[in-house]
Amino acid sequence: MLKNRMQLKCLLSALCIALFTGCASTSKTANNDPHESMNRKIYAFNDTLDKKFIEPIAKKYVTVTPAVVRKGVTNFFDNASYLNTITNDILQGKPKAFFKDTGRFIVNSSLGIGGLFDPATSLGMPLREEDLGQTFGKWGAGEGAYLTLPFMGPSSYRDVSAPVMGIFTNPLTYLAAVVTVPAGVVSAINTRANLLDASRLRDQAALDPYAFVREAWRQQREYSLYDGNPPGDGFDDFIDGESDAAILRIY
Amino acid sequence: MGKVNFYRIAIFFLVFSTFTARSWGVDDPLNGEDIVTNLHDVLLMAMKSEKNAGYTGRMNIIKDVVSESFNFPLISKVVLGDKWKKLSNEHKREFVRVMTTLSIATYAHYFSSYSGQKFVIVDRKSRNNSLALGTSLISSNGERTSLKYLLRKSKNRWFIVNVISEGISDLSLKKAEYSYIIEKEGVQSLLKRLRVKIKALEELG
Repeated sequence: MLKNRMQLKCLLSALCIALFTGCASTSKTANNDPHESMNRKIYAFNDTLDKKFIEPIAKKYVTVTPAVVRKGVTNFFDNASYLNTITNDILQGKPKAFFKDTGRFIVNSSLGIGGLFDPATSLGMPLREEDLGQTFGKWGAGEGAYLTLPFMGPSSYRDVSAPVMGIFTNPLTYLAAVVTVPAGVVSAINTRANLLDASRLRDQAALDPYAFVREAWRQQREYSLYDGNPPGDGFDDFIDGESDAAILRIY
Repeated sequence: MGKVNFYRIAIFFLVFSTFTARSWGVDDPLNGEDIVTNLHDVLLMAMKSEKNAGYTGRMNIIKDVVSESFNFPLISKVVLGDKWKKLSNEHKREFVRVMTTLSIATYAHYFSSYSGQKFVIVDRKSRNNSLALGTSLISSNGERTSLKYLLRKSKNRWFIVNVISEGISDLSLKKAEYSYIIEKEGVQSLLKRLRVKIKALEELG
């Protein structure tokens, strides 16, 4: 379940490039999207880039690579980036998750042969994801304005710096460029390949893909922030209130 | 990505379906839980019919359920928000019709094959005329997808008014999309786009 949740999130948050923007104050709009005009242009750019280049490559990758190999590649990159989750477990004050995630990393790095296999899940240590954006959220930071970033996709003032930490906590970053660069390319293609079904469904389901992605990303992000158990789950608003608005949002 | 995962993702983007016990030749459901259970039964039936029934066959299996068990007038009103009030009665009726057809088409398209999935109810919160029912779709490999149904009682009958999957509210997604289109292009354009979407689902089968 978590894996697929991550995949959806990846669809929405896209490939990994570090970018950082300051947390300027947010001028609120109805959708908390004061940069909508620019965001839509960037979305169109990203979508064109994806449709013309990235998606065809990902499709080709799927046709020439056996599923078992793709699974191994996915496992490997998930494991390589897992120190990010572990670090954010600490920053969020989650000792139980920290020990479990550390155990997962050790087991998969050793028994799983450098992360190619995932024996940890069957040992009760499933894949989780924490990042700096979620940590900021735990610390009380609001989402801030919605952003669409070139090459990356959906983000927000709060979440925009998360990939930076992801890069610095990934051991692959510290290897020679001759390894890091091809690894990054393979990781990006593999990630996109894992999202082919999801993006096809988005294309089929959405009337306005930009708004669809923005809303889905935000809700998914909020859900992840509380590990699927938000404090005020909206039930009381829905059950006690008769207003239409209460129907819209509940976890 | 396997069929099981396909369903897991599909469900994020899906929506309404349901079915009324009337379709099964029994009395009207006594509670909201029956509505959801019956919906799940019909979905499984459509999935199991697979290629034998085809898209049209699946449509026929689920259409009564969807049209009678979801409160599409309320759903339409919530989705369009302030813009609902500005629509003529004719447009309101047409919008409800199109929303209903879209939901049937969406289910018929995505719930097209069966590989051991099952639905279970995991929790229930209710008071007066509102019910929130937590369910899980369990794949054959044990993976669970959370599906929460919100139901409201109207005229002595329960209706589904929203579905939330893994924290994502279907109505919120639709509201975000439709509001922008109506604002920029008007309700006729939205209706046209919805009809195109229905046609596309039909062609995909």
